[in-house]
Amino acid sequence: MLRYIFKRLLIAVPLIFGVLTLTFFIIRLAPGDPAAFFIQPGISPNVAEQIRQQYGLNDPLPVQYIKWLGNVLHGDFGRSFSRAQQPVFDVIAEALPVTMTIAVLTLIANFVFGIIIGVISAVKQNSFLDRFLTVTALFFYSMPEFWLALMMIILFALKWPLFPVSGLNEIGAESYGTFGFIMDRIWHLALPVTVLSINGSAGIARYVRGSMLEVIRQDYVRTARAKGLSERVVILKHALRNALLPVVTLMGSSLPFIFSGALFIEVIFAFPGMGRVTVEAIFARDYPLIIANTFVSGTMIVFGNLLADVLYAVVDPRIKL
Amino acid sequence: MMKTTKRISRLLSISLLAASTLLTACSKSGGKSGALSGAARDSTLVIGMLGDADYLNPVIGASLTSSEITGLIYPGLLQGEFDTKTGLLNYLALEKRLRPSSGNPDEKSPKAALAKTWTMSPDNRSITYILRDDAKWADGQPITSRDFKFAYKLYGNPVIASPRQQFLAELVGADKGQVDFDRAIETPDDTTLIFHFYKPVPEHLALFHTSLTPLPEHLWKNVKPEEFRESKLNQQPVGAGPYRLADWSKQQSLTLSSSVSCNLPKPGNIKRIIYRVIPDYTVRLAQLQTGDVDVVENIKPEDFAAVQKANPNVDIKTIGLRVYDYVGWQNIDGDYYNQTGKIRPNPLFGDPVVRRALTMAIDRQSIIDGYLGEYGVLAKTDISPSLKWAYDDSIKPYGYDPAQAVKLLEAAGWMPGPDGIRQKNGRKFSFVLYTNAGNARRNYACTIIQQNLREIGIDCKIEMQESNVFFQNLQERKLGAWMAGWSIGLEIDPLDVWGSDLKKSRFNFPGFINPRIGQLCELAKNKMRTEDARPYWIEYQKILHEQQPITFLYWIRETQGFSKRIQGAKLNISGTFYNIDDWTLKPSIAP
Repeated sequence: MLRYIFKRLLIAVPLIFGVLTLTFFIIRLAPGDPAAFFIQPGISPNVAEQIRQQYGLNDPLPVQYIKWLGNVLHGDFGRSFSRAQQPVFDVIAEALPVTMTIAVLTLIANFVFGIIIGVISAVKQNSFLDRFLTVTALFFYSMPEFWLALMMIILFALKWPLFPVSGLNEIGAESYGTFGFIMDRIWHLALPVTVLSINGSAGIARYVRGSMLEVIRQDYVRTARAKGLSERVVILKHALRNALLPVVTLMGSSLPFIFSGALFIEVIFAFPGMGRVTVEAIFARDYPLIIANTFVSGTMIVFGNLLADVLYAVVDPRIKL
Repeated sequence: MMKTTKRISRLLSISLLAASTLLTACSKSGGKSGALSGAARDSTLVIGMLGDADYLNPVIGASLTSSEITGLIYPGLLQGEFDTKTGLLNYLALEKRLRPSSGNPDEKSPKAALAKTWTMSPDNRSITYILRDDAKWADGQPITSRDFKFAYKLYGNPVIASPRQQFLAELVGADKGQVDFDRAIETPDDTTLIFHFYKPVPEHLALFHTSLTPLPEHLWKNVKPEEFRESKLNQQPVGAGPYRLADWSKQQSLTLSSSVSCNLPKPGNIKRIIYRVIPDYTVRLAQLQTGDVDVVENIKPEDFAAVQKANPNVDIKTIGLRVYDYVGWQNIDGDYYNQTGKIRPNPLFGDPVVRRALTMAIDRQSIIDGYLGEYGVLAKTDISPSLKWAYDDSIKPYGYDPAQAVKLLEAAGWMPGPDGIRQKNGRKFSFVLYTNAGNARRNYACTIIQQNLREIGIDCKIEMQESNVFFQNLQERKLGAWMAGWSIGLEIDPLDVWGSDLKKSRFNFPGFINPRIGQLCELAKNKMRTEDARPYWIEYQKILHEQQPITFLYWIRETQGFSKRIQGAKLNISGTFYNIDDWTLKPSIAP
């Protein structure tokens, strides 16, 4: 298996590199100018030109590409255009932990609620509870996340002010002490994580239900029941374990989705995470930052998929890598 | 198998634990609102912002937010003042004013100025400032004339690419392409600062262009120009103004604290100002409603009622008129111009009679009534009614008159076609109206315009473009008709926007050709007193009104949401935070 992982990682290098090269050309071909902000009355026409010179955008495209390639091979992704010349990895180093926190919390909530709802629906198949959960899950599943987020803000931050509207921490939260600070952080994360996981767990619940229904009809479950085991043991120990096999692989592949979901959530809740960095970088035509973000999310997707494959092999002994 | 299931169940239990802590945490802290309590809240002002500041450095700071914050941290040579009675800009030194006081209600105290006084040479080719000798940077070093000369060299350095290099355009050497700093700026002693110009410059312009913010030479002198933008000093500015930077978490919040040692003129009244970055408009609005934020700029008129109902403690303050929206008509044939560099009239909008008809066909008042209400004013030209000294009151705006518009169109040869759309020489009057995506006001206006034009037989489709794309297309003259807006400068200088040399006048997007405009701008610029240029601006407004190069729609009163606990705020056209260092906060009632 180690050999397999190593091989996959080796293939990932040219893959990510190809993605970066494509991004490099696509963003430069897209209309819009990183120096456009400096084209306005009252600002000398020279400024935009000087700024482009600084950014190295006056060179022909192939020259720009070779220079960029050289820098990237040295591990230098450059400095951000729109964020006061901060090295792009500093920008990402500030943003990534925020997004990771949201992603991990969401992932956990997704699976916990998804599995619970899925199992209940499957066990009580076709009952009122199952129908209710199915309809509710579909209802939330088909709802755009940004809209759901705004509705949640209106309900739980304005109408009933239980949660804060935005931000990672309250102003002056530093003075609360470590525990207070973390509690404040969790309090701020409650709404966004709920929004993200309502959608995700609704999807997972469908998977679990389907997989569970299949397993429940298997002979060994009937055998377990025939042995006189309690229903609880049958469901949780014999059926659920096997039903979870296909679900586990979802974990790796849902990571990129959670990341892209975080995009809207971060803009709406004013979290300085990767999503906001990406959106703002694209609007500002901040080429180095866009490429660095692509690098991070590309790597994430490749590893997510690898993780999914490896998990599959781990949980299902029939699969050999 | 055993092992993996164990792992899964462990994972499950961990996540359950996490979920339950999350839930209890929520119920515990739920209901708590506003973390800053009592005394801390009473001495802290929170401002909600769309985006973060870029550089807290007057030389390279580009965004409005940066300039506002830099203005509080750094000292100024002069104090600027906008006279709401006349619409003229005034400049004050400690012991001298450009114009005498006119009883302007927004008068500023000159005490913040570094200059004691100034003298303009009789030939208007140089200006000499005498600086006060008791001004100090926040680190205790004296502020001298050398700090100004040092800073001006940075402003003029092409490697640094300062967005303010235009201010150096009249200094000796600028006419030859490179300012000769040794001759242009003299510093005979610590408190004397002399600027030399290559041509006579009116006093108000000399004051405007020589009052760029200085930088402390002793801190910055070892920073190489090519590393200027990357310097750590940009994150730790040392100024001399009423506030200093206390904390800056990028993209989250920026905290200023009142600078106790400040004598220019005094430490800021409010102890702490926190600028909080909240990119989403709805959320900024919600924060204002909950009272977590005290100031939110540019609230949409449609949200006033809801905000004030939810929180009666919110006030809406207005400033203006500085911003207007317009519908641009491509006066020239853009494709032909791009291919050949030659000018020929646009087949649809090339005729001023047609453009006038279009203006009459658009019900501008109902756009204002429907969206802006009392916060919109019908626009006649791009001279703002707030600039009273130049504004022509006598021009009657074109009213909404579709019948007259039809007459004009038919006189110009545009007759109804079989499908109801007007046509001339086989060409249909049909076009796309472009605008930038995500602007509710322009969206609203576009829809009304589309209906209005349809009623007189003109087919108009609406297309939204992403802002960057839209702006690039405008610059490349690829759009025939569009809706956009301008924010005007307080000194009138429209050559960039209306000059007939389309290569030089980069913002003449409609390609309006009228050499008289250029002449008028030149004549006005050569007047040594601003007010004396009035006759030229009157003629200028007449030309724009008659020719209708674009359809001016409305001026917008910018509407800012203010918590009522802020007292002493004077807002005017020069900014929402015009006198923020004089604001005070009403203490909350003690529990």
